[in-house]
Amino acid sequence: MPEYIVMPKLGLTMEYGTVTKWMKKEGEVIKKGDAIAEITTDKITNVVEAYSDGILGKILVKEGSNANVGEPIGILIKEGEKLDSKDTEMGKKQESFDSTKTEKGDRIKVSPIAKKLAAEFNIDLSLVTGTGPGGRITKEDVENYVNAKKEKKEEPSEKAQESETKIQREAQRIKLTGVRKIIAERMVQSVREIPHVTEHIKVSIDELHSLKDELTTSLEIKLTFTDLIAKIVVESIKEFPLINTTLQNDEIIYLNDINLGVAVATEKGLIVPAVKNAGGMKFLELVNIIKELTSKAKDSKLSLDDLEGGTFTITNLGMFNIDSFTPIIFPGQTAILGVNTIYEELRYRDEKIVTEKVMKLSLSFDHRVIDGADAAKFLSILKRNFENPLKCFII
Amino acid sequence: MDYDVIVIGGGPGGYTAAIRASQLNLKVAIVEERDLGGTCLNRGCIPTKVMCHAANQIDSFKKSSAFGFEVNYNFNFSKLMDFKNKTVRKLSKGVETLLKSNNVTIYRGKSEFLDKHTIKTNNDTITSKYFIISTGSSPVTINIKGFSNDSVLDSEALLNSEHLPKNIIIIGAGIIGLEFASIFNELGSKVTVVELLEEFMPFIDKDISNILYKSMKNKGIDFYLNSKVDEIKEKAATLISNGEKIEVEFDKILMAVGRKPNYSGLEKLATLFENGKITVNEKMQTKIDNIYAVGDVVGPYQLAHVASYQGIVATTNIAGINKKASYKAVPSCVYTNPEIAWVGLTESQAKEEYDKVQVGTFPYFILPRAALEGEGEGLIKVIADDRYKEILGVEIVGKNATELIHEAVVAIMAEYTVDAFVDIIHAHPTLSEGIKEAADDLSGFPINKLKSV
Repeated sequence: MPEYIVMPKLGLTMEYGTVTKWMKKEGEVIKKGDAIAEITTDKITNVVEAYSDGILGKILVKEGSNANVGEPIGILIKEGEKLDSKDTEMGKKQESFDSTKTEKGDRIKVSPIAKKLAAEFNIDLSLVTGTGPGGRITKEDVENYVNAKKEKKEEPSEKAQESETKIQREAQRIKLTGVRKIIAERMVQSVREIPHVTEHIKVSIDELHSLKDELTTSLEIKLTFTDLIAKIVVESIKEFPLINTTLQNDEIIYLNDINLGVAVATEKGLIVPAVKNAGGMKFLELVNIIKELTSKAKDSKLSLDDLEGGTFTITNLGMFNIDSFTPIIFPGQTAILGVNTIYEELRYRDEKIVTEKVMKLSLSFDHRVIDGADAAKFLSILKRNFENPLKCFII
Repeated sequence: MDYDVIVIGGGPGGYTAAIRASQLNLKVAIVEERDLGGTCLNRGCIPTKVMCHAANQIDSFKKSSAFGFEVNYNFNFSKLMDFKNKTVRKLSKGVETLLKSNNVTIYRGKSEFLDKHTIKTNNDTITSKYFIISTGSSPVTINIKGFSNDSVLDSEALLNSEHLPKNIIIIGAGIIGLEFASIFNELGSKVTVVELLEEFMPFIDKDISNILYKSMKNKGIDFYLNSKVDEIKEKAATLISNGEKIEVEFDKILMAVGRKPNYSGLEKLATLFENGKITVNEKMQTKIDNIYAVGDVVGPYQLAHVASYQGIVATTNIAGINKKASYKAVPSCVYTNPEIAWVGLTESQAKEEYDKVQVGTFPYFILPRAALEGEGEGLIKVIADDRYKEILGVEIVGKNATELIHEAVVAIMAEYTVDAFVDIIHAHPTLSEGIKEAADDLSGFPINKLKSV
């Protein structure tokens, strides 16, 4: 006797499903438990399995078509059995004996008690699946709907539970906006695109230190190490132009101007204004521009122009006692120099133990453009200039 | 396999299942050992209702004096029996015609399962993919000192009596016992009912059952509750009633203490039984998945109309359409005089299930149609839950109760609330409007009844 393969009810509220794929062809032999067809609802994809051995006699619902729950989608026959036309019409005939079949229409069929319950629980009856005669919504349907909703609330899914504990752990949530958002985007872009390598070198700054004091006295201005380092870096780049490049597609572009980005920590986050044509500036000029940009950054007064066009960046964490770190290159640049804290080391010099002020420099570079040896070469230029700084300042 | 479905037993459950199976394009056969139509048609509902109708005729003669008639009648018991037999034969033949016109193959004879796909009946060994067991039930007899088959009859034997008994003792005040008590009393026998239980019709509310109890007693039926027949002698039986011995004369004793399922022929299907009983799921499927069972053989009701409903449920599932049996609104009818019918929950059952229930009543004597027919004996009772006023049950005692109950069956099935129900226009004057009046009473705004305090 031919058996119907029917649309399974995969969920409480499932009314119909789509046959997304027939995994067996008409005439194909089927073993009990075989997956026959793939069914999809708006929530789930599942397979219909064969209840018994047989042959897929006929496909009644084509791939991509819908069928109501319980409606035959195919016919399973036994070997040697043949289908006659009445079997394929049987589905239609059976429908008339299936009192729960939903009749489509705008009118919602609902029993008086179900209506009352729905009103009490403030339920939209159009969302409730009726199982009564002709798809009429019964008391039980409303109760099931209410219970299902309650269960959803009472037993949140794992995901919901997870986020609930998160909410309990969290004190505050702040959306990424403005500077923070830009930093986030740029950093991700940089790390994703640029193969970073960082090299560290230790430099003695005894000379730089005394130079700073001398300049402060003679020029009668307040200088920072950043000011002096900026000048040394600019002069070092001039000796090693590969650092002042930008990579565009498959071309390394050497840039004329050295626009020195100086990272400034502000309340809103890291801001890197660029000193345009730092390479063409005298020391005092450079100091003044850096001072101006830094104070503008802290007062949130930087213009977009101030922030654009950097070709190399220095970032100083020395004041926070950082020994060394791996700075992230600003997209569009080839390297970045991290400046660290100054500390004293004992050194054996001229048959004496002396103290020496030292500092580490951390250079992150784009390995697509610069190799480790090139970077080392630039670092050795920096080291030389740090340790014999005068030359940089008389230019 | 020879068939898709073989139905064993041609009673209301079986023949209904067979016809529906055929309508669902299944190849179907039915096996009946005795007469098509089963107990109901041949030895139960139908023949008793023929006698019941005769009893009602006599009742109407008695009541007709109020309308100016002076009726003298002669009653010929054997003529009634002839009419009953003819009617039964005609209806049984009708079942056969129906089955044949639906291409149901009929096997006549006792059947026995050889395995879960094979039965043997007479000399035929036939196989089927599915079976529906609808073998029904038989009267139970209890052994009493002095018991003999000549004097002690079951309902089937009583229906084949040739003479109207002068004195009849009915053991058991269940529905069958009470119907026979009412019938034989009306036809002229002296009826004595002996019941082991202390309460009369404990399965319905007392305000309903009391009306029948009083009415039957007023008509001359003797009731011995909390009593039993201790010994049966040649012309009299000794009852022990509330500790006292009482002698009651009889020429027939009806034993109506219950019915037991017919399991004969199922012996080889050991796994069918659980604690000696066949159990089924909501689809009427037994523990052997290709075998279904419906009707008295499985319960939970022993009612013809439940059996036919279960037959439909079983066949529908066999045909691959999911259908679960629901007993939410099963009407129960007692064809006594007056009749009793109820559906859903009784007041006491409702009180067990719900925190609070509300009850509305309407007595027949203020119901115009009942009053004008001189049928003031009766009461309609509607039970609803307190919160939503969903109609949970209706009980009726009085004339035509067994017909009136169906409006309540529909109302309960359709999940009507009292406020929605009272908006249904009922024709006047009818007995049916009594149900609306009872619902009005429940709602607290009765029109034709003094508000109960």
